[in-house]
Amino acid sequence: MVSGFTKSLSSVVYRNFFKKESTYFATIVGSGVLFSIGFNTYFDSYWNKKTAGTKWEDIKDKYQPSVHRHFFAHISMPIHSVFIINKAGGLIYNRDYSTNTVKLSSNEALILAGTFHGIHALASRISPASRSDGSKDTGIQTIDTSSFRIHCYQTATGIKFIAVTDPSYLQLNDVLSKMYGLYSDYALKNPFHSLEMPVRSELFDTKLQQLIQSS
Amino acid sequence: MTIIYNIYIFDRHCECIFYTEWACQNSPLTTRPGQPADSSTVQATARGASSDTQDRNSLDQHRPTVWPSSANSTHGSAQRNLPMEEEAKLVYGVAFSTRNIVNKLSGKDGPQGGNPGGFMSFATNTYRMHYYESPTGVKFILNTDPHTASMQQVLEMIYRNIYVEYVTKNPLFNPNPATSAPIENDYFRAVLNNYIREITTFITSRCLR
Repeated sequence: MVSGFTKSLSSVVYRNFFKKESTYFATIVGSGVLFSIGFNTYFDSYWNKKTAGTKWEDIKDKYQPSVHRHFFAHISMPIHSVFIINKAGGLIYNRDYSTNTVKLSSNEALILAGTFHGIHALASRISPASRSDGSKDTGIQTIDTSSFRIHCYQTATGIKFIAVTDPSYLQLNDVLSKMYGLYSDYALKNPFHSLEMPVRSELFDTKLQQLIQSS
Repeated sequence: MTIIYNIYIFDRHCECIFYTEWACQNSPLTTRPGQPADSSTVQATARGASSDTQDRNSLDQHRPTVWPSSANSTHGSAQRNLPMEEEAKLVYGVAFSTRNIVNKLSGKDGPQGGNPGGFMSFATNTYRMHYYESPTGVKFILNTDPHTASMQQVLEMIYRNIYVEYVTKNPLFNPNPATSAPIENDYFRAVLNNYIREITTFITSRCLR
């Protein structure tokens, strides 16, 4: 039985691979190629496993700064800092998101917020033009400087969301209104939050950070 | 198309020494609180900006209102000066505070003032205020429509080639730096008007092309 099976198998192998000169040659070449591919793959993976963490690809970043990594770090963080000013002109939130901003003391930040609140209100008073549809001037929306750009978004309730960005950032209103959404979800709905007072909510911090990193 | 509303020039002592308007709808010279602005000529100017020739015509027939001016005495100075001065103070305050905020945020705040932070302009939904400060502390404030791009070069040009040429080099120029004197120089005003008309038509034609 067993000898009959081996006999028939060997006769099949013989008939299909060895009998004709051309298939015999093709079998030898093909099996050689397949064996070398398999051997190479296996040995490469074995070598990679043995030397993980010591190869040049893994330690390259320590020795040469990657141009691409720095480039993407630059454009993925165009928002340098965020201020939120309540309707009375008080600063209720202030965070820096990039390293090249000036560190403001809390007193300076408060003064800045109050001044901005004032000029925002005055800027709508001194408008030389009225809108054709008769609606009122909204106050300052952007401030352009040579090194950065300030965006301001005022909600219907008088809260101002201010972001300092790269000068290349033209429109930020969608991000700022998303910020307003986060503010109403994670700060206003917090039972321990008191109106017009500084926002102290870790969840708001992390959500805002995520929004700014994704924008 | 660009619309240039008005220009304010302030000297080192925070005094408004020159004001001219071209297409103002809420003019401090004509508008009283609680009184609607005289809008017949104004709308003609604002709409006239739609094409070159119309724009030039409207600028010609709508002669710019000027302040301060001795030739303007027909208006009645008591009526005119109060709102104008208040407006100028507000404009100066807004520009000055914005400049200080920008200096503070850029970390280049110094005791000597100036504009090291590079404040260029701010925009609301109805206008854009362009700011240029000369090294000697003369401040130029130009109001345009909010979609106009940077006017820094225009303002620097006005300072360098018009203000210096016709005001500083004028032999009757007020030599005492401790006092401020309004610019009552007709050449300055005429050249400035020409220049503004030129750039208005230039920018408009460039946008239409």
